[in-house]
Amino acid sequence: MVFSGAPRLMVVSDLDNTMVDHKDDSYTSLLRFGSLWQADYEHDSLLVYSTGRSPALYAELREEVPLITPGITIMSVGTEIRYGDTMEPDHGWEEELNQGWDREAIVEEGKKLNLKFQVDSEQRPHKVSFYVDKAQADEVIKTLIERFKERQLNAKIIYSGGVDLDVLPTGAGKGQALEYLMKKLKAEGRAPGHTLVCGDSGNDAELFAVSDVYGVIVGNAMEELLKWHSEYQGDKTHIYLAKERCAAGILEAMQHFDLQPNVSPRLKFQAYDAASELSVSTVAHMVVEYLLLMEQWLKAVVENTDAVFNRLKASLAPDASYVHAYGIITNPHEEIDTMRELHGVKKNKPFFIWVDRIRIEQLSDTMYLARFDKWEKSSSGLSCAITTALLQTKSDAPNGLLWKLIHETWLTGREGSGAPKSADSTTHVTGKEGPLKEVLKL
Amino acid sequence: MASLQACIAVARAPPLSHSPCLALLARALRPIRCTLRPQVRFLSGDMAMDWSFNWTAQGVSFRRGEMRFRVSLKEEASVDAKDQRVGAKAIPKLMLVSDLDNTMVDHLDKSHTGLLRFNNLWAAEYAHNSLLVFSTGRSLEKYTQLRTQFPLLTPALCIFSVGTEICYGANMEPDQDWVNYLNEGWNQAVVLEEVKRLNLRLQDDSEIRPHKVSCQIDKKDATEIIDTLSKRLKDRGLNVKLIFSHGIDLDVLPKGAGKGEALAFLLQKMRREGSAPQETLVCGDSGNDIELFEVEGVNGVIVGGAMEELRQWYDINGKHSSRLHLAKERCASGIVEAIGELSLGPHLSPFDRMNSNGIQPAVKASEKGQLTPSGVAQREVVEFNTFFTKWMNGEVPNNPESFQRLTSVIASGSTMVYPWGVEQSLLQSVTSAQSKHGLTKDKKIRVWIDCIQEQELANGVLMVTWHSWQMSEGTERKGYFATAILREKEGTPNGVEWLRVHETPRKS
Repeated sequence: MVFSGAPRLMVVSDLDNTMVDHKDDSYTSLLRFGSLWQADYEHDSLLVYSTGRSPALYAELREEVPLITPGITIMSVGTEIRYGDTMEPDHGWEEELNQGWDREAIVEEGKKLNLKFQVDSEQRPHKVSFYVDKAQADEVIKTLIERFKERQLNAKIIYSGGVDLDVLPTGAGKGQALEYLMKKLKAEGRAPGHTLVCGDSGNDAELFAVSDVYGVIVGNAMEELLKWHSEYQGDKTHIYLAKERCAAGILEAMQHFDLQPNVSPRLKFQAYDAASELSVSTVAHMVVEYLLLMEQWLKAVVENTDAVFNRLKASLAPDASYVHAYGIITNPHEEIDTMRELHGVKKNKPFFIWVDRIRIEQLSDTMYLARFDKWEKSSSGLSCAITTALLQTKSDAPNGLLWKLIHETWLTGREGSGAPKSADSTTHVTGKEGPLKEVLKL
Repeated sequence: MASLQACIAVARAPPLSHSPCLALLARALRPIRCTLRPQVRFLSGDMAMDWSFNWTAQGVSFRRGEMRFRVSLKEEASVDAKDQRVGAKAIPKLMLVSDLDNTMVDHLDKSHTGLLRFNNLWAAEYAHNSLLVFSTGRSLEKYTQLRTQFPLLTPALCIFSVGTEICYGANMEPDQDWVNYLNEGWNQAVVLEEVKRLNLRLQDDSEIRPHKVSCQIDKKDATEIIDTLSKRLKDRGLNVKLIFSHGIDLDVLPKGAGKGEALAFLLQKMRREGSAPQETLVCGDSGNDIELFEVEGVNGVIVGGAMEELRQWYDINGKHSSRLHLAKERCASGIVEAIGELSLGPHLSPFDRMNSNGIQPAVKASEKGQLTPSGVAQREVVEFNTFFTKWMNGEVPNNPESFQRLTSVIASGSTMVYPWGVEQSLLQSVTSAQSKHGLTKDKKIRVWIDCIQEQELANGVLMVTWHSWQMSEGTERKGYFATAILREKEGTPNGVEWLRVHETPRKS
């Protein structure tokens, strides 16, 4: 997300069991959401993750599942707000939370009650976290609240997942963080056109209480949230109870609230009229679809027909150039024929290609510059290629667009293997660094 | 018609209806009625146009003819910028044909300074419109070896094994016409037999090629051996020539072979295809280079440190030629010197213009009606890279004004992908290097740029691709493939600003 205007749509979603379905190791609905977002929303909308996880656990999650990069990350149950790819912290929010917050006192009280502290990475500047059994929860919470009152501590308790007990400043929480964010956006003249909040458990409840939002409680939501929903006294017409699990539930809600577009390219390819106006958003969509088609070809999700193969081949300019991340330059138009034999070579295997951080810039009437990360997950691991591409308009090409240049570099730490000839390549190529790299200490 | 076939220097080019070219032609052809159908076939630094036309005179119709004009660009010429950047290499402005050992390559210079200077000049000023040709006595195998030891550019053509092999491009496609030509009056097996009969010592296997048999002989026996062998081979019906050089090497080649013949053959072929270079510069240092200098119409440089046999030839034959230069500087620096002395084009590279005295700008084209000749984006790439490297090496003065040279050409929002897998704002990464002036002064980094190509993507937007190489003392060279997108911008040193750069490490 690089644009600076008002987001057309802002989606604020919890991660575990909301965006991410831990029971589905093919991440079907997560990939569906991701490809819809990259294809149709990345250029003008804002994706916000709001998670109980600490930065360390968030990073871990990013390594495990195919999550796309959000514009804003709210972590540690709404106590840490970070912006952009570089995760710049919001110092204003930190200062607000500091008001009357005495972390040491809270730790003392926890110790007094012999509560089990969570691991170090989960103890954050504005969050103290324990593990508390469901059976003891009510008792512990009551006692803590009394103690905090006695000591006049600015603190509140959030119990969720049937085990996590977090102590945060009163002013903190997912809901407050979101309100703070929305206030900030409004002040900058960037209030979102629509906002959709998504959750599944106790610590998400506050999200739904924020004014002027749509909300979705996903199909697999926890008892504690459903309980909250049924007991909620306010107006809850803006909250939708999805039937589908996790990200599929989010997509279901988008349909319900008529937030358009809401059909993922993974479910259905868009047929563009070649004569229709190309724009940065439609070009993004085409890039996402092309890479999706690659994946589906390799997995035999699409049929091995001339028509389908032609869509792959005819989208490449005859003089196109492809600088592969593994360090060789080819002409993809000449090489694509080898793809014909690779149809179904990843069938029934865990193999996914997805796009992240797509940015399209129009250089001229006939030329577009695309920048994105191309991720690939297979049984041999996770790899990512930072990609620069040039797309050229051509009336008789599929979708009216031709790939002219593709230039890839392995993302540091995410190197893949050499030329993909077989179903499983396991060699890892380490990044090659010249003398200047050390010097610049980037 | 003969008079019209002479080259006419004209100041202006089409649009046709107002073109003085047409007017000039019309005047010359006045007694003849003719319809001109000019086809602008290609344009490059200096423009050349093929005009095909039919004409009738006094009721008799003549066949279509072709004429070629050389147009030298004057100040008032203002050609549509689009036509200038055709992209394809059409008529090369300069074809530089150079020997390797001790001409382009200085075996005594471990820091490769001269060669790197040449590379820098070539990439910045000539790659977009000129041809680089290596003409070496080495075989393909020994040439490949040399390439691993020295920072050589990739030539468009390579002539190996003393002009017996002509190969094109990175894939080294051999010229089949040349092979066929050399096969006449040649039989390798017979030559090997005769060489054996005389008990001559053959060179390594790699030096015995389809159209070359090389041996080593003692200087004192040379004359006798050459006489005998020539006679023997003639008796056996072959048509060969023998070349003795470096005081020890004896090469037996087809009569039609040789560095000079190969070059002449090439030029002729190019003329037929309408792509003969405007100027040719041959560069040598030893006996087997003499024929290069004797090819008609070429310029030549004998580099500093050249062998006695060539200097002698120069004293006798070359001294008074205005097209021949005896350089003071060694090897590749001597080539650069000659380009300047013979006025073949720019001779001050970014490398030379950026030093401890500061940065001198490139020679500007005149202000009025300034063209945007193709190649400016390439020059920008080379200049930027050269300045950046020199900054890190501490080879340019540490003052913020000169660093501005870098920051002023970066468009806002532009990004760079580094070969180690990090994407960053280009402005941010360049700015962060400002404090690193002289960081590598004790272990200087040497960079050179090869295979640089420029293409116009759309109005004022250019893509440049290149291979960059880095090395420093004690480390192996590392190669990268790079792509950059640049856009025209007034007020910048080369008229362009940077939008995006992307580098990938080359597979080793």
